[in-house]
Amino acid sequence: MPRVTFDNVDLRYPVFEVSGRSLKMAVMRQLVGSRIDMGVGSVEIAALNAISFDLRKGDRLGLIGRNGSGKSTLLRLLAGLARPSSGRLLISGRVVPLLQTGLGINPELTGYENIELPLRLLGATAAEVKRARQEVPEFTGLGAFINMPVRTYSEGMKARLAFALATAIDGDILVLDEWLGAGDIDFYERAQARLTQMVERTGIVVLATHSADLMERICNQVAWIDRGTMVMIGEPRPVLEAYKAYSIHNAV
Amino acid sequence: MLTAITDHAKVFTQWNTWWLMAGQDIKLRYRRSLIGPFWISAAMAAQVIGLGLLFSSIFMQPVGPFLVYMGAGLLMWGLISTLMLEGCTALVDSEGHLRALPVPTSVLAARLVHRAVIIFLHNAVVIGVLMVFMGLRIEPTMVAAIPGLLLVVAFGYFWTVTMAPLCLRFRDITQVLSSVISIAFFVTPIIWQTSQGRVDAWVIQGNPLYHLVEVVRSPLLGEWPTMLNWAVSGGTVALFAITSLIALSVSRGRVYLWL
Repeated sequence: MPRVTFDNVDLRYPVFEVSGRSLKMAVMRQLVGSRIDMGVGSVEIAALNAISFDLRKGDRLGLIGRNGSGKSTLLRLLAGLARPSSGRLLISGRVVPLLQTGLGINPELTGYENIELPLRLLGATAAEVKRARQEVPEFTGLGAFINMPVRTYSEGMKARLAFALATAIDGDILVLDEWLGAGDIDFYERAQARLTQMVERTGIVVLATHSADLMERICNQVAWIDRGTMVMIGEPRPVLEAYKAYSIHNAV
Repeated sequence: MLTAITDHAKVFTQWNTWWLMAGQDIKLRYRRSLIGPFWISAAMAAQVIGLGLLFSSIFMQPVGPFLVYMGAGLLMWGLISTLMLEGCTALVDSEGHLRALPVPTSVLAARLVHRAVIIFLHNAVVIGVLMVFMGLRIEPTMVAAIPGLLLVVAFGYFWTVTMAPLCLRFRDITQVLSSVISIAFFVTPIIWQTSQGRVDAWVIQGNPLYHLVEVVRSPLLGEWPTMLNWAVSGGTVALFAITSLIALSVSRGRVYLWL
């Protein structure tokens, strides 16, 4: 059973200035001590404060909030890229994080050669890689281009490949930073159908987006995050309305 | 600490990943040029011949044996210095992957070691032929080069797991280390011999890199490595195995923040 539990999760992290990335400066600070203020070289950011929620099978959580509110940071925690500074985070099930399209596609390799590595990094089994080798060339419709280096692709072709790879394996928990869109109108429709199917098959979905329509269509819960704190969580409509009211009020 | 050990175990559970990554690295080198990594081997062969002729006349040594000695030394130095230098950038160079997904440092270290070993094998073929041509004979001691090589590989792995996060956090360490390694090339007996007796014994014996070179070089040249060679090499591996656990524990969940 897939499950995600955030229990009072805090995340604070330092942002280094150029001097903070230097070992020499770090040693100097120790030697000089507090007599001369050389600047700490880093600023601590409290990205998330006391976040708590619980997701079970069938839950589709939408995250809403202004830029820099902590949505992406929360997704990074789910992806296993970051760990809470304090509080408990429990995740059971295979997480498929799609935070950045591309997943490190190597432009020197052909489209076909680029299939295996991103999937292996996502934790795919041999059988899943084998299936993707069949499916990805078919779905992208790249034809003979699948055996050409990716650097020869147009932006649209790259987007097709990245999309096909991102949706090639199923997890228990799908983490999406913005709804994936790709390519021309013909492909876009097939892509949307495929992604919708994938969302339907997946146990738990967490999605960050600015689109209120999308959230109402897909999510059964919406969390509004502002400056790292959970303002509201619940049914999509009331949360979205409160957020909209707040945004309009603040814009004036 | 336990989680750090499970991170090391991912080298075995995710062997597919690093095997594939290193294979692609090598494939790309072949794609850019016909002879791929053999360019490095050719450069190394030229270095062996050039430096060998120069230093055998400076030191007034017979050319043949000196070329064989330098061939074995440069071959090992090539492997060790590649492991040490590229080990520092193992995480920095994988930024694209690390921004999207959590890839264990241990897996990236295994990829680097695997790539370095494949290139080493390319060099070994070329330098091996050169050495045979210069009078290298097959000796029973050569068997001892295999465990020696395994020690060097283990050193490279634990070094990388230790240094890659450190070099990601503090970006100036890589520069400092590359200068240190180029000085170490002259301090370590590669282009000169310990038997020449002009360098204090403690400078030679106190240098762990000398012992790591020696556990492979001396069996290739028909001598058994000394107990001290084995002990210092093993001790160095053990030391970095411990520091690798510390590095894994400290960098856990922080690698992303240091990119």
